[in-house]
Amino acid sequence: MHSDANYTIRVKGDRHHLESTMDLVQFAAMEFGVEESQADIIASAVGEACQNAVHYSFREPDQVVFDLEIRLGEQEVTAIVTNRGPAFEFDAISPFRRDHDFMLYETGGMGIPMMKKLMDDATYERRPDDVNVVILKKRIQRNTSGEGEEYYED
Amino acid sequence: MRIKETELYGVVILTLTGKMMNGPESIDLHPHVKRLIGEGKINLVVDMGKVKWFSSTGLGALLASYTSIRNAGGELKIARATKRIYSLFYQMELASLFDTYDTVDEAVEAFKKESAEK
Repeated sequence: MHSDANYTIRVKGDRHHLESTMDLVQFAAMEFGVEESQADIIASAVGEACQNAVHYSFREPDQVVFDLEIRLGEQEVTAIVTNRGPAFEFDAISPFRRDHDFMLYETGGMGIPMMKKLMDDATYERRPDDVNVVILKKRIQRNTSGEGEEYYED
Repeated sequence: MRIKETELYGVVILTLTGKMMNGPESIDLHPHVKRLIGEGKINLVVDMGKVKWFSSTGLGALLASYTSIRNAGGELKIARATKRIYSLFYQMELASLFDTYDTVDEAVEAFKKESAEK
């Protein structure tokens, strides 16, 4: 079983690389012993943060580059997405709720509510050097038995 | 992400294909569904068996589609959602919103049973 692990990658913003990044995050989490369902959730939220970085750069995706740091700890996974670009609204947007008007999300706008719903903590910092930093945290259950994963069931 | 449309026993099946349900074409799902509603087709199965990652854009389009179908008096059922997608639905507290089925045939069969009971 691995002790703490950190990964930092520089990602291009095109769709292919974003998808590969999500695959990588999911794989790294599972290799670390995170249960598959949690690894999927973390990768999905990280994917949203990455998409956000691309969207709010207001440039063509293949011209966008941002940094992703993944910290795998004994009790928590932290993902930090860092990109240079205009500031965006983050704190005022609430987590997704079932009673939201779904039509509000018809053409987008669900990324930050989704991040905040999927992760235990989601914060945004604007650095003085015009850099956006999104920090996502998820408490984890590591699979110590090696006997497979648990999935949610109704 | 591409949308393939077929029909079975009066139920429209939209098969979503593409590794990542995101990008501008994901938004096409809701206009597609609204067109179907305009044609009087309000029983819909969304086959998600080929969707690898499900993004907020795709989920938003799916929820908007669900709302429109329900407002039209119809039903939207999900078929072949992967464990990953079901995990996402559960975490988003949407698992009980959708009727989900392991196969498209089971989803279509459910429509037939519901129609017979009315």
